[in-house]
Amino acid sequence: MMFFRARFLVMTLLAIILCSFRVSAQDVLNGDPVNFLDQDRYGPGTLIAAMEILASDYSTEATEPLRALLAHPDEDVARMAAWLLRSRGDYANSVSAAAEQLANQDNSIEVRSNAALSLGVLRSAAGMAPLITALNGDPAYLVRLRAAEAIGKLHRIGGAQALSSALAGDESHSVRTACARALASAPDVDPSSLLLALSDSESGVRRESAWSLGRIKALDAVGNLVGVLQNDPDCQVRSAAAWALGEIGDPIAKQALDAAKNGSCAVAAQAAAIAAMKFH
Amino acid sequence: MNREQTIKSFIMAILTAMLVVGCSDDPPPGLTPSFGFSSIAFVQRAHERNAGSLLNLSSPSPGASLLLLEPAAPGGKLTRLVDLADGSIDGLDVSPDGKTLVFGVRIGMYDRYHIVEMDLDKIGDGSGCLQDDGDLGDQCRRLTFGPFDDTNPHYLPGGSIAFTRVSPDGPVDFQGRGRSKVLMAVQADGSDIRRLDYGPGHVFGPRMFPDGSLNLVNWTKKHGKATFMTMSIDPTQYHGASIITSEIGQQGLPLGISRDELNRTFASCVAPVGTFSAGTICQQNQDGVFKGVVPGLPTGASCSPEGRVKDAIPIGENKFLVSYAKVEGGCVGVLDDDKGMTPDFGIAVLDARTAKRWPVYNNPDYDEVQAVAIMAHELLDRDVDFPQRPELGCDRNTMRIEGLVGKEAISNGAVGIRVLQGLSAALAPFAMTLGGSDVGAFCAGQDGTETVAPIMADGSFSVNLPSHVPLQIELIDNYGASVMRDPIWRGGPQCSERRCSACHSNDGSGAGFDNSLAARAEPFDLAGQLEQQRDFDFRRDIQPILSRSCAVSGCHDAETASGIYVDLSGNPRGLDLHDEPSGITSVAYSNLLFVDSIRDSHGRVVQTMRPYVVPGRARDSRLIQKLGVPCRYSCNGAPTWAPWGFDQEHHHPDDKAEFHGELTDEERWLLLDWVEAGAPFHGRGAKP
Repeated sequence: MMFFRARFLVMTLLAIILCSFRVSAQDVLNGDPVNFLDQDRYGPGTLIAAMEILASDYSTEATEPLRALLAHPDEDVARMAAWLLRSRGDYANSVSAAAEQLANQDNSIEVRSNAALSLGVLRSAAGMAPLITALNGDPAYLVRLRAAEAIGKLHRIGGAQALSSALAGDESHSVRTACARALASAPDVDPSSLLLALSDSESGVRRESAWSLGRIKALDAVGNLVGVLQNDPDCQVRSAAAWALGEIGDPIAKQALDAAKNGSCAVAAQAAAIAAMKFH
Repeated sequence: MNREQTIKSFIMAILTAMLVVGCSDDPPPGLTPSFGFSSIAFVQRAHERNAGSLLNLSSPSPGASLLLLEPAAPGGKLTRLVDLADGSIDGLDVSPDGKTLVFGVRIGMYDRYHIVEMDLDKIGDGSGCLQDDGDLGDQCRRLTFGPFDDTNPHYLPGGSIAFTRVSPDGPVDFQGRGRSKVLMAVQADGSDIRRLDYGPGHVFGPRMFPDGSLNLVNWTKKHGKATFMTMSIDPTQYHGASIITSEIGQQGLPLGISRDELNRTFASCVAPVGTFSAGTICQQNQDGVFKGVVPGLPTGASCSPEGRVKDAIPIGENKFLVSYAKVEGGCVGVLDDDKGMTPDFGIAVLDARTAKRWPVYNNPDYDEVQAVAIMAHELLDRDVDFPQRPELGCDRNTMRIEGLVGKEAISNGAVGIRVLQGLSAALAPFAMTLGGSDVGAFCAGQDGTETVAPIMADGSFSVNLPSHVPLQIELIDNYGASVMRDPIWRGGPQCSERRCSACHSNDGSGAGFDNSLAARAEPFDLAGQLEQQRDFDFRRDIQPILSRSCAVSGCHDAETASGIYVDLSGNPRGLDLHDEPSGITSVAYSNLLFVDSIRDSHGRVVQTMRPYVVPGRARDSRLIQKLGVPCRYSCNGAPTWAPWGFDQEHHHPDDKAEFHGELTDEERWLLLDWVEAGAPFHGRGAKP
């Protein structure tokens, strides 16, 4: 009996040792993280883990493999690669690499859209032209959407006109929504395009336009926003108008906000009540 | 031993090992009355994919539900409280009385996250919280609005709610990856929204301790390096009221720090990279270090064949409500995920001491995460003291601060109390980043004139201040310059009172405020309306003085300033104070505020001159020292001019009478006040 117990314990120990050996063989990214930047061999999780290690301990040998990831089909990978390259000051070559992938219509939609995303993360003025081209002409809505978002992230003069045009005319409401959002970050924004978008057929576009008018504190928009607060069929849009009126802070809006506190939309009434407090 | 016996023994060993760390068919302990919860709520969403990094700040896949399971056991009744085809839910908490849930939700893929509160008493069959016209049903109300991503809500004492916010116009994080995830708080009616944390970092997993403090992980820069820190925040205060409790490495990041019934501190320890933000349960030891406590579940990112847990909540007797996943033959890590071995998280109760696990609910097609235990009302009605809001029943719209000033401050010349009211980015765009971190307007009385409360002869003071706004208290001298400044922005609800003894001093002289002069007098009123507070705008208030008396021909205009003296590299230099735009401010502002360096012909810095203006420190600002400041408060017996100025006899620019650049006493005080208010460029309401 003792023999069997001893044998059982030995076998248990053996099983644990075998298990431990297998464990250590699969440990996460042992070795040089640069070796894990090969997108042909490794999936997004591994690539991101490797880049997080590089974020605190960068190796210049990583620069070239990272540029190859700027248009990776996984957006988290592309975003992380672009941020790492930007943080190392690798602007010119990175923008060229991403712009080339963005313009190549043989690439998949994911590759092109993530190339646009990367150009936004890189924050270089040189990215503006290829992004405007993509916003104006890429056939895939996802690519145009990412281009609009990226133009907003550049925070530079020169993108507002393209965003305004797309806000008025793009067939995709997702793209129009992204344009309305990005315009609030464009230094040369003209609020008139956002005012027009308050009449868009899609509630998401109207809501985002109202928010953007609040973000840029567009005094000229108060009358239009009051109209939205009172008449828009979508309660979320009305609440966005209430928020924007509070942000702009023109006392003219107070009466409309007070009235909206008793309106039929609960969410807009709540937003109006909070916005009205700013006038006390 | 023959081959058959060997195989038999091996299988027995494996089965025994599984029994030690594996599942149990016993009824989950959550069912027993001793744990006191009747049901659980949790979030169900698509399996997480390639969640390589906690710090990647990306969005989860679209589609999510908020579910209620009652009783909290396999086979319990499942009620779908919210169902989102395109949207998502991030963060869930239950109120201390178990009657409401609060969660971060976005309705569509391109919508923003907002904080929504739901009455559990009104849920019925669970339909109707989110309606087709964008409105919310009777059982739900939205607490936050605007183009922000508000997630991870958590109830605070008094019914207010803390949450994390990412704003498109918020502070850029310290690494430049994106906007910081900051900690905010809002009252239960959606009012008084304010920021609680401070700095350009990200906050993760705020949870409240029984003492009312908020505990979280802050990822920010310290000594030039990205660092994770656990932090304790007093949610009744404003940014700056935090204590760093420990610095932690990349391994075992404690998220969701909680205390159990024995006041032990636990958390879900995860590696920031590669583990789906899951790990093990760890306990904080006496040195403040979090150590894994579950047998078989490692901290860090190494392989975990026995699975990983996240979102752990202590429910008593070493048991935790957790989200748990295991990958057969894998590690619950990114390497498995890249091979298509994606973990399936489900809700379970886990005994941290033995690793014994009782599955509660799992749908293999989805992840179930962020579970909260909902206490049985009948238990709560008897045992739980739900904190009341202090302002209920109060007819005063102010808070009060009173106390005794320490001897050290008195000996440094403190004669009065002045209070700076913080201006938010909405009120003063860019002010917080341009003029230093402590920018605001001075509190004034109801008549809008008094800005300084006196310190009584015995060092006592009592001041009524605006409630629900961030306030910074400074002790000032006869000239209006701060002698000492409270490093923390304070604040409180209406009718609250704060008292300090021997404020800003360790000399122990503060006992006995009740018998002080201030205690016997009416509190000094500095609680005027916001519009009456004195704020500053460089172009509106300061530049006109500079243009008239300084930037004149022969002095500090562009032309003259360029020829006043020659620096080491041969370039003519001087202080140019003319009003031309420069970058996002002006020539005069940037010349006054920013460090000036003299370089040699090789471009090397050979001399660094401190700025003319040090925001918040008039006594250390060369501009104010050079101009001199006449006495302003309690002047009986005090020197006519500030003794910390450069020259007691000659005061610039009066000493240059040929240029007609004299300043009045009021203008000198105005310049000093602007410096003390943080030297902002933009004032309230100014456009950036």
